[in-house]
Amino acid sequence: MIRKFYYLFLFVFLLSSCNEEDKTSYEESNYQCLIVNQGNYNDSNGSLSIQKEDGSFENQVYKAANGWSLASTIESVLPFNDKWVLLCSNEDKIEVVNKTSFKTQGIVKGISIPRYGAISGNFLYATSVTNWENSSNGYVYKINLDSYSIENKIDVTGHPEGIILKNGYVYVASGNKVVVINPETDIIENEISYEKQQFECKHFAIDINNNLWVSITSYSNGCGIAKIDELQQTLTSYTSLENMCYEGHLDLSPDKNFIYYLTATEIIGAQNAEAETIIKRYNTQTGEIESVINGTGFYGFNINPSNGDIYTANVNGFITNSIMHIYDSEGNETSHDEMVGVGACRFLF
Amino acid sequence: MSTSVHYHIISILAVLFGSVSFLFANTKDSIKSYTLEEIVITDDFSKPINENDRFTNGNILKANPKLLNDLQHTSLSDFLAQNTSIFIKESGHGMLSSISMRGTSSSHTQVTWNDIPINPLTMGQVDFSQLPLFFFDQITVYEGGESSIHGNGAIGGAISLRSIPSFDKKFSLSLQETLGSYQNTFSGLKLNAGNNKIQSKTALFYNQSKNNFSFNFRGEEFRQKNSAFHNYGFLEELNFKLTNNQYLSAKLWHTYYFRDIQPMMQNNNDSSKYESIDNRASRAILDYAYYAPFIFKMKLGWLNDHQEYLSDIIATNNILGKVSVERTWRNIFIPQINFKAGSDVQYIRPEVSAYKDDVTEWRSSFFLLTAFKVLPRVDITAHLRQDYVTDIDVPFSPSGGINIDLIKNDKHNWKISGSASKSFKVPTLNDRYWGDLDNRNLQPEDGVNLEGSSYYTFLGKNKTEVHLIYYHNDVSNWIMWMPRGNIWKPMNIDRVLAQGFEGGFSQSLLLGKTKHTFNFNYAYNHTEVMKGFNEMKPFVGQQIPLLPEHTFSSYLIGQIKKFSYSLQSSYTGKRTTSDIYEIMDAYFLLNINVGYDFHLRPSKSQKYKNIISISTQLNNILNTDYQNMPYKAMPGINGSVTVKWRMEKLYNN
Repeated sequence: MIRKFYYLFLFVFLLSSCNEEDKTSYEESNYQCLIVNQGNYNDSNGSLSIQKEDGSFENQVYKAANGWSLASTIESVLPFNDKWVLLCSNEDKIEVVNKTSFKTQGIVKGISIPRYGAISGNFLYATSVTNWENSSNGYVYKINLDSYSIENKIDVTGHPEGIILKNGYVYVASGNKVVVINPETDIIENEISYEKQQFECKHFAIDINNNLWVSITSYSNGCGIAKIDELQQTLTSYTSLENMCYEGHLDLSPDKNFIYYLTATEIIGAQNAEAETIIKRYNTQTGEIESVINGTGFYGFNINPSNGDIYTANVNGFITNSIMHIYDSEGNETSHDEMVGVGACRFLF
Repeated sequence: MSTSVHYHIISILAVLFGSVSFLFANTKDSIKSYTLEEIVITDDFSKPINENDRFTNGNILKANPKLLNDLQHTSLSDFLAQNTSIFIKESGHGMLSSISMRGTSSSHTQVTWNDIPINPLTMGQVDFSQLPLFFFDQITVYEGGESSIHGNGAIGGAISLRSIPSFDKKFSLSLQETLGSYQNTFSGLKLNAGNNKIQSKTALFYNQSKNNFSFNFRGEEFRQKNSAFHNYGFLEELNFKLTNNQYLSAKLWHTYYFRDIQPMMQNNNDSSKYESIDNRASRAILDYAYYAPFIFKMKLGWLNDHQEYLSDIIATNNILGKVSVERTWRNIFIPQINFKAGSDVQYIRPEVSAYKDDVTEWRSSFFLLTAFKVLPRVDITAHLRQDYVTDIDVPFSPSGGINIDLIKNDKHNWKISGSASKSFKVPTLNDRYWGDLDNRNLQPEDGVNLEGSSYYTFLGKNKTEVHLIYYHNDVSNWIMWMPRGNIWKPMNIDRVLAQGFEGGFSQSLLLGKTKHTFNFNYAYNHTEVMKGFNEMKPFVGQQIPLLPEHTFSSYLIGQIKKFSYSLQSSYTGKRTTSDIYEIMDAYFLLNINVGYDFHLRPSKSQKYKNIISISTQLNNILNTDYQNMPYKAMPGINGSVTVKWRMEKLYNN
């Protein structure tokens, strides 16, 4: 009897010892779009999804390729040769993955909340803020993408956000000014200020005529876009873009004639699934503004530079998975209801 | 004056009138007014029975005393995680622990201490890591079904924590010292003294740990940082036996918990993410009970919870009064009827910096519980309960059940049971008042629970028990916090369905003078959103995040003379996270405890006997690498050694 008794226990014990670990592997495939799921900051559940050539979606490709999750929020992603550069917070890091295999190539730590980046040669210039509340300690880090090491740290004060390389200079949107850095010397050569203190410069776009534009937002004093006069080093042609989201994200049509931006009733914070959001475009030639897509819960978007398709997603308030919406350049929806990761807001082609 | 105010006043009057009228009542006259013969209820104050056990056919789990004794230096969180199939969410080792009973949320389990609910009224959920096993003589878990008779919040179930007084004149002193991994120490003292009229029970403990275990993350080994904790507690109980059937008891609980908040694995070395929190809880109960020929109980409770996190203080003071009368009758037609009627009234005053000023609240309830033995083998229960809360329309919550003994003889007992109940949970104070919100339009959560079960017991020399339970819990207005514009606010999800089944097997074995018991419990819980706002779309048809569908636990315990052992195992199945594509791995844990008691034989002149117990507990002996919550590291194999010295006074008579 006692033997049976212990055999029973042993059976249950062995049965339960079969730990079903979720060991997945990533099968490399061509894809037309990388979907950056920013993730919920508190949950650190940023992830990468892809849209394959056949239009189908695959999620959690980073985890499948590496065997563990990214365990961060993804602030932004930019291409570098055959790699993607991921700027992440909570855990604060810059991680470089192979574009095809999604395997990690290198990690740079020691940078507080990396936000956005621009690449000059083999160097990444990344904006960084000390914390979300303090807007006076902002830096641009220069990172060697061969050795994955920090080469320099440039104090730009303010709250640095968007960054772009143009005509051999690095332009950084930081607080109510644009800081111009010479990457040869890493010295700040100029600061282009916007006259109103409560406004913040956010992101850049370069139009068909090689003009540099910067989005300018504020909590409650309106938002807009301004052209940077590179010769005079001033901001000109400010145009109000009513209800532009506080993040101030911009993207260009394939012909670079139009600058697209997102508006919302609640311009700050994570959009809930029912919040009305509109993607609009600004004609850089005529200054006209038109609505392209009316939807709900959008937090970010991007334009496919090859055909003008517009990719966006309802982020469901960042509490769960996002629902993809894809439109053609005229705003006709071509695909919807595909579910991707949490906070899908950037789409790279 | 609103309608609910009237009910609160009636409830206060009921508590006061019930108390006063009882003191002046002529018991014999009151019995004569009924045609049924009154049965003397033989329970008394020192019996380990909960107030409402006679009125439920639901699944009741009582903690095994041996396991309870082995884990005295730990918390209720550890005990439930290791020994039941209930899922405990642990935000790290020794950190915030919340419960999910039968697929419901952490605030859907009501916890009572000697029949007084102790769920913080601000947040609703109990931190089970802050309930020290050292304080309790008995732990009872009521899962689903008729647990709603316990009142507000018992949508998934209820847990009762009790002290068992004893008037056996024994003086005893017990000292415990535990030394464990990660510089964990636990020091405890228990002192019982008194005579057959007055008894005092005192318990004191101090526990601390550096909690700096090592863990693996992305192929690297780390040493856990910022996860130390220390806590202490004091419990005093004074029990008075006024007459043979009248008791008075005063109980005082005070605990303090300080902990660094264990950071997520990826932020282990980032000191900018380190935070800490402290909590203190003070609770007092004055308890009068009269037994035989009926039961009259009157309780007065005071509860204070205080939490400091960053610059926020979340605190509540509340005073609670309860009165109940229970009678049992029988006649030639009905073998037995139990009635219990009562009323509660509660006044709450929160002290929360994030609330508007002057938030206060009254709560009251009226209930009638009945249990009929309609036939010798058929029991029926039927209950009515209505609660009233300031500015809230609380749903009426009736419940009932039936229990049929299909086979009942000296060897075999097979019974089947069924129950239907309505349960509710009033939105917490945070739900309604946090951050200057005025969410008084938030609806109470409202559950409809159906349950069927079968229990078989073989009553031989070696007892065998098998049970199988199916449950179906349909919850309307489930509350979840959601982003809305620039803020987060609580919202009602239209409908969430939690359903599943539980199975259990228990076998005891007597071999000579040795006794062994094997117990196995399995639970399948599936909870999904049926209808809700748009953000809920990904969860429609999917298991809700962080809740395993499959869990089981088993234990094997035994006593061979003065040597004892226990072997516990638990399995937690895969879980989705808030990203349904990110799956957390299942894990299996195995723990072992061995102990030996040294009985120091007293000489004839000695008035005391001494017992020294030495035991060793090893946890996670398979060194499983696992996470209970995302990115919260848990330790590999770890252990502790406990030495207890117990001195008891000997009596010749």
